[in-house]
Amino acid sequence: MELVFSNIAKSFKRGAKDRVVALDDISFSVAEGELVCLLGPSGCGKSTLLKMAAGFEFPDTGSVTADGKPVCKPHPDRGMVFQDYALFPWLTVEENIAFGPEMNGTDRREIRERIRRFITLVGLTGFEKAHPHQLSGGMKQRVGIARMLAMSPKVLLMDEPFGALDAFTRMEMQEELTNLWQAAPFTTVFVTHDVEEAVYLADRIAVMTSRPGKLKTIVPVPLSRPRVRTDHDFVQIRNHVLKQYERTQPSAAEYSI
Amino acid sequence: MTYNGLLRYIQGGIGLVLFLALWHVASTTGLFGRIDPEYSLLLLPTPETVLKAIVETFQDGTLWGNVSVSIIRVAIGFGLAVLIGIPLGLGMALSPSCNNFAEPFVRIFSPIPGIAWVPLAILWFGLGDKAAIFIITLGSIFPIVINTVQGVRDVDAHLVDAARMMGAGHLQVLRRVMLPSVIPYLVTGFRIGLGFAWRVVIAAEMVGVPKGIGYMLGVGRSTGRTDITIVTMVTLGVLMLVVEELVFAPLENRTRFWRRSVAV
Ligand SMILES: Nc1ncnc2c1ncn2[C@@H]1O[C@H](COP(=O)(O)OP(=O)(O)OP(=O)(O)O)[C@@H](O)[C@H]1O
Ligand SMILES: [Mg+2]
Repeated sequence: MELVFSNIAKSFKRGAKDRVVALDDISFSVAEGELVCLLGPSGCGKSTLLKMAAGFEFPDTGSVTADGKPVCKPHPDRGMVFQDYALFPWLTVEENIAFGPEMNGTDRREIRERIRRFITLVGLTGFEKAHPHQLSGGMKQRVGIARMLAMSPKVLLMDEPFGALDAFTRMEMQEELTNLWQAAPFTTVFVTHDVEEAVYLADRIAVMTSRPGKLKTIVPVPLSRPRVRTDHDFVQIRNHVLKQYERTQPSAAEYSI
Repeated sequence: MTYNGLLRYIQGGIGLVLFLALWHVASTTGLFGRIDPEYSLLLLPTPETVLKAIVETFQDGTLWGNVSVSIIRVAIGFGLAVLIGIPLGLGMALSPSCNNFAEPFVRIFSPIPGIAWVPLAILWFGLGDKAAIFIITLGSIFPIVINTVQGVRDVDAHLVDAARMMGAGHLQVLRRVMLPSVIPYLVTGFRIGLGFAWRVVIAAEMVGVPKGIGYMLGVGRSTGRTDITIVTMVTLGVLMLVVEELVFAPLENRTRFWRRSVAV
């Protein structure tokens, strides 16, 4: 499934008459089977853009299309990992994961199989019967990922899915995602503000700047996988991406690496 | 049992025994010599007399007869309040025009205590079950409506988004997201509503609606059987305690355990 964002602008009300421009004339596309990272500082509109692709938020002008059709409401073809997890607190981990497949009428045996497979994948074996309030932030985040994968969507929309993980688990999950994606390349939009993560995962990196949220440039990452973070080319690209911020944003301090 | 648990029972038990002893002495000594002991035995019968009265009223059927009348009234009145209150609350929370229509009434009528309806209810329906049921329904419906509205409004919009993302339709969102989020609020509404229902039915029965717990309270007084009045009071307390411990406490635990991390 191909995603096309064309000339997207969006502003939000702030206070009585004041409006804040969240997104300003953003255009780019994600090809079938491509993994694009949206990279940018906090508040530049990454989540807003992703919610538009999911069908929760709508642009003031411009459009988002999936395989040529405008996105007007959420659809299980486009799975999303929410920045704040959005797990059902009254369901156990496995019930949360089963929710998507249950909605599209998958049979029970297949659901069990997917639960097992994705719980193992995200490293939560033993927590099947736990409730979200008994999990750490990073564990909840992984349930969110497993839940999205279990609905076998055509497009993956991931909003800082590894944001709450420690450095080691994060690297592990990046590797898992790469493996999964290489085995069956699904169209993916991956939001992050970690440059290294973007270079490790992406085919292309959409570099955004904030106030107002604009697309600065798109950096291709023509490296073969698995990628090695210490390789000369890897470091080169990482530095190139970082430079995008140096020139436009003197206040690069608020930007986290 | 833990040490603290044991301590709780022992200390609670000691307190109760002390209270009963004090009661006994007060009623046999004429309230510590302030009045004629014969008179004080009438005003405040000893715990033993009350126990005897419990056995007596239990055996001759008056206790259960009256209690069951009140329970049935509350069951019908409260059941009506639930049947009307939940749909009304859902309507108010989900449809702005329904809310605009109903909100003024809810805001005006909900602060009026159910007891205030007793005179009108008796005038309209006479001294009978209908009047009792009418005021029970009126007295307990508002907490149910208000909590239902609040529950639906507090449903986490992100969870609705997540469900829709996974392909849930309107009905599935209602059943799998709204309902589990709202149930804890309903339980709270029921608990408050039922508390009101009890107070109201007793008040109605005390001022003239025949039979029932409130009636028994009044009869005890007017026939000089203070012991029966006290029996009725004890019964009321025990009844509420049983409902609380056997129904609401477990229900709250089961339906809102997942909120514990936030609430407690
Ligand atoms: N529902 C909303 N109402 C008002 N303003 C909003 C809303 N959603 C987003 N905004 C504003 O739009 C801008 C972009 O928000 P968005 O959540 O997309 O940022 P982000 O890039 O995802 O940031 P972060 O990295 O911190 O998650 C922010 O200035 C935010 O205040
Ligand atoms: Mg965000």
